[in-house]
Amino acid sequence: MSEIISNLQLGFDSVLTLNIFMWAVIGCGLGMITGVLPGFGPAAATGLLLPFAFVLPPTASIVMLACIYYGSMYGGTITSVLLNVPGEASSVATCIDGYAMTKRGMAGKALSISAVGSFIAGVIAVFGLIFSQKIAAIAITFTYLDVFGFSLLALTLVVGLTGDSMIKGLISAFLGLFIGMVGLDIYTGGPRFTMGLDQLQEGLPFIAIIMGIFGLSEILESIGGKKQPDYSGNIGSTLLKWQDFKDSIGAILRGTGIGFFFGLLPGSPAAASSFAAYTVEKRVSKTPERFGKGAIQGVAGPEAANNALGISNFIPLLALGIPSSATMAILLAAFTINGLTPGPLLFTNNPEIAWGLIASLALANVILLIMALPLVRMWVSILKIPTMILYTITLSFMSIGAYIIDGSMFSVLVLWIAGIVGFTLRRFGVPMAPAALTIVLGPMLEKSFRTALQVNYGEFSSLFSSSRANTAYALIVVVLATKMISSIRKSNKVRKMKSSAAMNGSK
Amino acid sequence: METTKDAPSKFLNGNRITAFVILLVSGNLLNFSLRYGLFLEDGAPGPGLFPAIITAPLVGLCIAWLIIGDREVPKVKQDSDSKDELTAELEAKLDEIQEIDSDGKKRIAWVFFWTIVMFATFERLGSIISLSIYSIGLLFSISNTKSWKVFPSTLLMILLVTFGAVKIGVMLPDPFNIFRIFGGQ
Repeated sequence: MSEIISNLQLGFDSVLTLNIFMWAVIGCGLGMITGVLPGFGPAAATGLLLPFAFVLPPTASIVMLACIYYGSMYGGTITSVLLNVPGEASSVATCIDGYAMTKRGMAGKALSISAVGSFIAGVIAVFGLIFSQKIAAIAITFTYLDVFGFSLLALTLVVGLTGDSMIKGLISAFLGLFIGMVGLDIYTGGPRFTMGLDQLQEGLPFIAIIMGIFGLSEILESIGGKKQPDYSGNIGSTLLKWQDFKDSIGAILRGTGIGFFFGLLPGSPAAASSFAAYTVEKRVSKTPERFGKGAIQGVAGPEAANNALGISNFIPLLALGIPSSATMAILLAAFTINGLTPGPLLFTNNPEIAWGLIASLALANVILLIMALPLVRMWVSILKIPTMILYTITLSFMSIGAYIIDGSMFSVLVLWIAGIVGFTLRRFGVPMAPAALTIVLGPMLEKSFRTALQVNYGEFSSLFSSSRANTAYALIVVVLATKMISSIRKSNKVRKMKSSAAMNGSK
Repeated sequence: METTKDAPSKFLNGNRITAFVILLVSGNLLNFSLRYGLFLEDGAPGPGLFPAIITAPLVGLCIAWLIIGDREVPKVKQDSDSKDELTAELEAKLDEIQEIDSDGKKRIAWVFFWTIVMFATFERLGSIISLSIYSIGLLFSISNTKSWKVFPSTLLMILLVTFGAVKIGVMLPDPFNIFRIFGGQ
């Protein structure tokens, strides 16, 4: 216990300097602004602002990006509640009762309870995050083979992010894996897939790619879209009564538990946790008929789940070095830019950064509560700016952001190519989240795979010589079988629905 | 005029073309992977082994997409029976492909046009002049607002960001030494 306290103290010492604190506040503010952009989720917001990792010192850039991520989650709630436009899948559940409260003139109250719920969930989840060091202590004994097994498991769990079409999700995942292969070969030093271009010898600039497939494609989609939402209403009072708090505290605590658990599972869709929290609240409520019509628990539960998941998502990243979501993959990229390797060794080699990150998340909770409660009207006023103006400014910032990656127009070109490819693929239902994860996981997977084979002279059977890796393989089989069964069931159901609709039509 | 009947067939054609393009690319990449060599002389994995492991299933998946893609239709509410109507509607909202009408296509075309202009001018004219032209061009073309308040405020924003970038040590092209006004180098 005393070790944890002294580690936390180290974390707070590294964060509570004027410089880092300032970047944490700027990160929360930028996150809120990007989160408020309609349709923009944390992945797009973090990807968009990733170039900051290049220009700031390691602790400042990691803290800032974590705060951007966290801030964009808070900001995303505003558009979900006021405009019924979720920035990401996990905010959909908030829309249901949040928007209903807005229609009843209680938008201020919905925003306040989501801020309070998120704060409580965030504080509790940060305590859980402390124990990632314990998991890291086990992971430190992993061999290359174990790392390969668990990376492959994380990759398989990406199937959970594939959405409705498993084929398209897997195509996205494999394309992402391939992007990581471009550049000089790690063992022979020979160029691979560089097309003779010197700029590609160090690999494709994956930050520009992530900015493109998430941020730029999202902006192009919004610019082309018919609906350009803006908000001109009044949010009403933001003051919560004691009764509101009493009504919501159970939902907040249950949501925290659900979100925290889901966040530990790499690849589990974020929407699942907020929907689970919403469903639980509806089930335990004495007045379930109020759900969908503006029940405060319907906002508090999913928001708490969403925030707890946001923090527990850090556990696989900090403890194992495996990103569990697209946003975590982007944060992993930020670590890599700064020459850091998240995973078991981070707590040993860079404790000030590992514990600083944990402390910054606790700090971000306080900063964001202050930003979200008394300053909520300021963020809402951003929604009154025509969206095309916001997109114009964002496109200009993106160009600067991509340019600073290598000080040339090459990264800006990559950004636009990735943006156009991402935009096109999304229009045909190819999800982009698996690609973001595999771009980062790919090189890690190849390194562990080849090293494991190298030490055994290319003997493939050696891949099955570790009990931990074998456990990971067994889990992979279970995950794939479950996904396939559910896909088959779903397609059978759709077929039945279609045939019954056709029969009804012929009658 | 675009009818609703045209939309699914356009979607399917686009689906086929996209699948076919990725199939061609992945087939080519598989060929390259094999050429890099699957194994080294000592039996250790070669530079082409892992890429081949990735691109071979990619080829298979693209073929599957070409075949199964024909059965697909643009997102509609299909599984609304298991959830209440409101939840299903919101889920569909996330997944549905936003329709882009002719105005939307024009706006996207304008974005591409001004981006090409930005590419041509960024290093020649410097970031401030280039991004100012870019922003004003975009605001005129894609935003309905013609308010003269918007242009100075957007330009001011770009100047502030560029100034901030220069202050934290970001090197941006500046052939006319405009950054000196801000105290840059």
